Amino acid sequence: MLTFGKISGGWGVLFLITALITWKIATPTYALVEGGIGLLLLMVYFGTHRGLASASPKDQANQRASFFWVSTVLIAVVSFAILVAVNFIVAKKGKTVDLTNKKIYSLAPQTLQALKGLKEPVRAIGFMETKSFAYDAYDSLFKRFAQESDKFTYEFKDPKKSLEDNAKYQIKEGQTTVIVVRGKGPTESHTSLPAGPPSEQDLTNALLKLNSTGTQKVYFLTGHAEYPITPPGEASPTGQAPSVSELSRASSKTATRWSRSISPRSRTRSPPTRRCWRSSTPRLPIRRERSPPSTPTSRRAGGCCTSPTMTPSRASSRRWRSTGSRWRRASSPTRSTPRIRSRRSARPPTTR
Amino acid sequence: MRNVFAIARKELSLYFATPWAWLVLTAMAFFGSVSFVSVMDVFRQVQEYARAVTWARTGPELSQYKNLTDGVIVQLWGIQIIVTVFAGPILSMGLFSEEYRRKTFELLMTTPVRGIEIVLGKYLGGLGMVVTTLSVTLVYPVILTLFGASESGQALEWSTVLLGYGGVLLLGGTSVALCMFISSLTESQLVSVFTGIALLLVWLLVGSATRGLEEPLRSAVSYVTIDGQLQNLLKGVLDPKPIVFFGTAIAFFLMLTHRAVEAKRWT
Repeated sequence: MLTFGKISGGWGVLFLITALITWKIATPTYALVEGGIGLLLLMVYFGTHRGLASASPKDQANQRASFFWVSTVLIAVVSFAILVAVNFIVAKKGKTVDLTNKKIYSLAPQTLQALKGLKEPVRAIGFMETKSFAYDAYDSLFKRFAQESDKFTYEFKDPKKSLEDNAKYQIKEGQTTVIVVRGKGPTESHTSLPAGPPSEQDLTNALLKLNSTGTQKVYFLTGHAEYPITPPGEASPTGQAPSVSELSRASSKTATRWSRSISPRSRTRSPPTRRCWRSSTPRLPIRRERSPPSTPTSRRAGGCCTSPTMTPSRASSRRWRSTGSRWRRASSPTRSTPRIRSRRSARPPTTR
Repeated sequence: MRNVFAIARKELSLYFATPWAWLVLTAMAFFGSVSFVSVMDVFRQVQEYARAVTWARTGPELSQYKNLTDGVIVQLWGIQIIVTVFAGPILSMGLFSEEYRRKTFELLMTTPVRGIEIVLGKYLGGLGMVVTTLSVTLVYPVILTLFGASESGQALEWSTVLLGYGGVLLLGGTSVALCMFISSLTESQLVSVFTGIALLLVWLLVGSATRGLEEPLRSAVSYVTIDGQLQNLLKGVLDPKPIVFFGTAIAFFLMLTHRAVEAKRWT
């Protein structure tokens, strides 16, 4: 009878363990039936061994034996808790070392640089089901990124269940995609990874893209025949030096080149970057009395010179010409401020 | 510590005095060789195909066959893991069960040796046997190094090979610790070996059941799977997670075995 009980107990444990697998492979009903049989067999075990335990009062009275069993259970529980804690810490903080010759499982230097340069926390949201084949690949990729930077976090969401996020990021039902989000609330900006297999390059590009938002600069450049805004003592003979020096100070080679390109000496076109724009040259000669004073506002505007409107309609162009100078627009905080931004720069940095 | 090594030496010598160890060694050599030859054959076929159509036209699933390390050795680990899952319980089934059956356990407990020393000694004996069986398979990377050739100069990346061996050894050590605990609970070697293999197989297969689970359960279950733990080590990435995971699992099972052995004093 005892042997039967032991065998039943063994099978009971086995049934209970495999019920978990059945839950996923087959249906929950089968798993519940299997688990129920397992519990029944375990009860048989306890039933057959209950009599044995109660039939030995000598053992029951043995205080040392009781203490041993209690201490064993306690030690096992405490050891298990320590084991879980140690594994949890290592899983969160553990760093991997790629020992392959070509470091094929390491992130590229460009990626590491991009991760190091993150200004704000960035969150990658994988919209995919756990059954998706891309899930594991993205999980592995995100882990490598998260390991290198504390500012990079990730999570997965089921597109069938996260309806609110679907609407927010314009995701179709069942669509598998990854959204990379920077910031929170109204300042949040996001971009999505291109469709295709998970790629370190795509994710790095997305990070660079998000990281560059909010850093667009507007430069006010002097055209010819205009007064530099810097104090008179700093102006160079060409009249172009203040803008160049200011731009150089801002470490913008592009803008510096551009400022040179629009100098009266060069006849080249404006630079290809669409985040900047060239001020239109006044058709009429600027009279001295209309030229602007160097106001604190203009100096605070950061800059070098004048700023035109970006979208000069015909009417505004006419108005523009009639004033004869752009300076008033640039120095006027109420009008110039919204107009400083181009259409492109005014658009949120999302690409969706 | 001297007692521990004395017990370990005695266990190892006992292994080689019985046919079990030789049977397991022969079986491992046989399965290893068959697998090695078949994997090499597949590698050769893929290489010939790639030479005919160029690597650029082959699919990404064949890219692992570009070198001997990924194309042969890493492929062999999958087979080696399955062999270890069976070899571990077979090698450790008699560690305590045999003592119970022969009624020599009482004799062992009356010797001036502490319980923990008995457990550690027997565990080291079992682990030594696993190391011996694994070392039989070292002949394959050696053959590849001697006779293989590569454009980069080295036929094999030995760092990847050794990390793979370390991973399989960790699994072997864990399987010995688990089955020694089961062995300490029963005097039937048959019950011990079948329970051990059943538990290890469930542990091995539970990884495939995680695909449909939701987070965070999926991550938690994936963490404890054999596949999930060993994947980094087998491909050549030194990862502290499997070392800690299998290390703590071994310590836990050794602790349970120690308590089970001590419990024999009270029953």
